Amino acid sequence: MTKSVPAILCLLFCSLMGFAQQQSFKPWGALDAGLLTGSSGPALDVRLQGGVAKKGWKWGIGGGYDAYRFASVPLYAQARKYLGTGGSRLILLGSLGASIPAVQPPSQGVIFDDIWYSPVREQRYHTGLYAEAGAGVSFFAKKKLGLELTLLYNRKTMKETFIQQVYNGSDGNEEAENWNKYRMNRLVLRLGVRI
Amino acid sequence: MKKLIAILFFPALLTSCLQDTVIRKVTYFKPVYKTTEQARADIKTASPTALSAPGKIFYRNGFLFLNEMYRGIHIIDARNINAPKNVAFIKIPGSVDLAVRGNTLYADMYTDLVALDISDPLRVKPTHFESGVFPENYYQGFWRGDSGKIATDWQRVDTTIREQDYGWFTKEFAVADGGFRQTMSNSAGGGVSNGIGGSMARFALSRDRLYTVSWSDLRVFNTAIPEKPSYIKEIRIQNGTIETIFPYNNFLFLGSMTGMYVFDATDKDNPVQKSKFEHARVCDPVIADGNLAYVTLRSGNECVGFTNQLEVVDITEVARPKLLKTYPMTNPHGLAKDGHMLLICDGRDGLRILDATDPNNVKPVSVLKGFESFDVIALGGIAVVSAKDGLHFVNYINPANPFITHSFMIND
Repeated sequence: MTKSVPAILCLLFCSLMGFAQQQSFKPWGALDAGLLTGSSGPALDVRLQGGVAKKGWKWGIGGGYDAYRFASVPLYAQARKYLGTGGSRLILLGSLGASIPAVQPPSQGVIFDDIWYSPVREQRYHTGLYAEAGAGVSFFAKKKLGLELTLLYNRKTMKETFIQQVYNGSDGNEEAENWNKYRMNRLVLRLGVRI
Repeated sequence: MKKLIAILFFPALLTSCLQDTVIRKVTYFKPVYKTTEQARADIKTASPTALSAPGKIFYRNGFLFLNEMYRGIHIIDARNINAPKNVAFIKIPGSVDLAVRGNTLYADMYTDLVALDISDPLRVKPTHFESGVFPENYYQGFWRGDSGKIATDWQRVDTTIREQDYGWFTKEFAVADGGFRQTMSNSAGGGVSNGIGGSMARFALSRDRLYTVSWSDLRVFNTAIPEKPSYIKEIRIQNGTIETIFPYNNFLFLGSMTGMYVFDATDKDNPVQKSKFEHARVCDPVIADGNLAYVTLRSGNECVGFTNQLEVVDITEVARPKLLKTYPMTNPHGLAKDGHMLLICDGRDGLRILDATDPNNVKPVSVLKGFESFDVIALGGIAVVSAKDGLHFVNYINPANPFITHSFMIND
């Protein structure tokens, strides 16, 4: 799934561009990099998004790489509203999509975040939700190029499933199909280049 | 501009919202308690139940007594050894070890020794409780029992919890290896015969005494009146790591993680250590036959070490045992000897049969694979093998071509 993300993005992006030309929308694109901070420490992400714009609104799709805790590939739809006029404008934006695990754990491993050193098998990470909302400013805006600084509240989720040996209190272990649903809440300071 | 800054940094004020959280589906087992009196009153023959975690085995007068770890004892009618039947279950919470003398079965019930009248195996009844003789069993499986109550069962609980995710969390209650420890002994005395057990026993009967071992103690019980055993004494073993006991003639062979201890039990109430045959730090059930002791050393899990082999030890001079020869094995556990044939439970390799006519040249005869074996008793052509997947009856009348005649499978 992760490997097919660039192809999906290209396909959607081309479709949007085609739609923009037919419907007199203006195409837009942005490349940004962010510093994510949450309780699991700082991490970086990079994203590329693009779409169509009209009357201060921008709609688009995007994807990237999110290195926070469980590395993932976010794939999302995005809407932006630009307020004001001139070179420095206020931006309100939000994104909603899927967070696809970029890596998978070894088929047999250990759940480390456990007071007991639990061996597990068939451990898997599953696709979760990706959502964010925030605001920012654009500056140094020329006609086509510009910088954008945004601050967002971002959440990604991930479900981890595994089969675990559980001590049955008396004679040994029994297997249990268990899971962890992680919710990772981050504050993201992101610098983007409008292209 | 101030408004803009306030808008930009408003999310930073929501620090509590920046905590990773996790919802976990967890599984654990919750003890079900009864008072000691209630648990003792429940000890009686009940309907047979499927094997779940078979432990040590004891054979007596056509009946097999198979421990169900920490829950009780299965009674298997093996009078027709080719068609054994699971006929009853005795509920004994906390039971791991057992031994049979005459018509009396001894078992541990957490910290107590219980004697059961098995003259009619289908109508078993307790005759005596010797309280507090196994204090090391007070702690059982990480649980500390409520004083005055004991855990008689364990209930599985599947639930979900939500928490701040700091990475430290008690999700389950241990990762034990689930390994088996089998048992048995075979030595008669006092006019009342003793049953046949396996080599991984921690209870052993010799003449009219019951000897039990814990990690660092050898205990002596008087079973002259079989139905009313009485505690005599405890002998401390320095640096013990004791795992098994096997009686032979007037000697007691104790398998430990660091070597084989030999105790002279001529004075049956006062066994005296005669020697210790040391080896690498591994697990080592032991049996003796004639002037030879057979020791299997295995590594892995709680057994640590890197040694997996059979050792043949000359015990002609008990005070000075001498290693004759070693033979490589896969992961040997319990063993038994029938004539010149040596039967070894070799872990995942199944049951290994060897010709031990010449102890200096023990020859492989056959290997019966297909199960992960732990302990064995040999009943003259039929081996009863306790394995991870159940209890197997193996015909080895032709040692070169052993085959399973019957099996009781786990949860079957």
